[in-house]
Amino acid sequence: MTATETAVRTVKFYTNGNWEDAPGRTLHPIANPATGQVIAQVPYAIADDVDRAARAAHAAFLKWREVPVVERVQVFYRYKDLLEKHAGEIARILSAENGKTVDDATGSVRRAIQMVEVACGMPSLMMGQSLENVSKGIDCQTIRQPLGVCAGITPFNFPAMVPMWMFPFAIACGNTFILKPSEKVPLTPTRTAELLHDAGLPAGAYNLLHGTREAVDALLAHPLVRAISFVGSSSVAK
Amino acid sequence: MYQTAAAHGKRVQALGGAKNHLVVMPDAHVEKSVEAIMGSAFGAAGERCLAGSVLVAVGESRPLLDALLRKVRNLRIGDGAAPGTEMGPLVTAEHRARVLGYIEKGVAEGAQLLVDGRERMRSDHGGCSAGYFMGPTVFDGVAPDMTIAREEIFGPVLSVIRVKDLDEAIALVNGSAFGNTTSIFTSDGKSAREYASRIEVGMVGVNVGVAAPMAFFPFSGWKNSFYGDLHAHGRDAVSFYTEQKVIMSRWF
Repeated sequence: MTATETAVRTVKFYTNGNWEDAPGRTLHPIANPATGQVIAQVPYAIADDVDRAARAAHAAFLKWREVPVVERVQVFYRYKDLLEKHAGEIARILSAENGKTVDDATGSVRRAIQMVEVACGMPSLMMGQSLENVSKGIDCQTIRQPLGVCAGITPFNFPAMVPMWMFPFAIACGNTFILKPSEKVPLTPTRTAELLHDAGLPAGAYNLLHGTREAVDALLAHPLVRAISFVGSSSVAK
Repeated sequence: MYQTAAAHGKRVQALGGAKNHLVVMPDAHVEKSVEAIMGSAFGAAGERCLAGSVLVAVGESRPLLDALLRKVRNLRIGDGAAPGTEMGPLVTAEHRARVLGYIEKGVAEGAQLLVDGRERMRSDHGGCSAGYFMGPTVFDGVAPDMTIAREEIFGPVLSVIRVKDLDEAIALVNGSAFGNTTSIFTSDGKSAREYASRIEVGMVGVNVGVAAPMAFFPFSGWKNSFYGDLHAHGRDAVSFYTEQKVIMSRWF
């Protein structure tokens, strides 16, 4: 390999715990905004990919919801440690695909880690309420139950932090998740997904697809997806 | 997004764009406020929904604006990975073209271009001349109905609007279609309290340039900056990602 043909990696999807190629798909270049040099290429998900991810996430949900919340958050304690250990590396990847300074990127990774820290408190956060003897001999309680498959659609500007506004909370609550980050910045979400895998999250509980309109439309319409978290422009948000 | 997902019966939280105002009172601490405003307007090259993109100068603010312009002209631009860089490039060439379009629009609509970021587009930037760079840009004499005062630019472009007093500033900010964040810079507690109370914006900074809530608080944008009911992170996130069930029990 010569210096001019170094490391243009092809980004993969992550579904059901596996890193998958999308054979035969058009690959879209990702350039380092500071140099214009292409550093990666990314396939865009089609409706079939979304369906596969949603089915995997739903199958995982049926088991994950049964895992006690105290055990669920153990994954996020380990995830926090891994994110701390790799924070500098994540910030450099983020800077290389987004353009922001490594200092700015590091600050956003710090914020992302704080989201994970708060999600680790889910046993307290998820508690319901109860009242004895609301009527003669009758007790009343509320409990919180997860929804099912949740999806996140996130922008190019904070590819570590904004997804973590979503999936640590969603998954710690017992949901499973599909992330579709901005197609401009697939590398940071790839690295943070690898670390979530290493933290021991069961297959299918977190899935990562790349792409644009087709993937988004499929997520919005898929019957197994129960909730959508979106961050982007107002014209799209509406 | 909100309408489509809701029509499919899904729960939705959709966070949108913003046009965030930084209100500078005549009694603001010059040096510290300028530092906060620089970070707010040009941090992440303005590509964030909490970027302060309109500076509302209340009354006499010449010393602060002069200090700000000195900083803007000296901002170090380059590869975000290079030590000492204060502002990196924009994310893509297409996005930069869009931001440059707003500069042209500002000029065409009669705003006064004090610092033209286009002049720093093609400089060397530490050997990175091929990148999608532009310099920080400042407009003065911006009127509230100009495009650059109303629309989200998502780039390093700061518009200065001059008003006579706090009431006029509050009316201006409350007239925005967006309501994500705003900040007031002042050494007067009464002004700060009144601003925070009367302003129709979901995240308010007092002498803080980017009032990004910590993880345990909600990211609570208002108006066209948010479509939904439960916000991102904090306790709202727990409510958003769960369904409540009420159980009534009686044992015979």
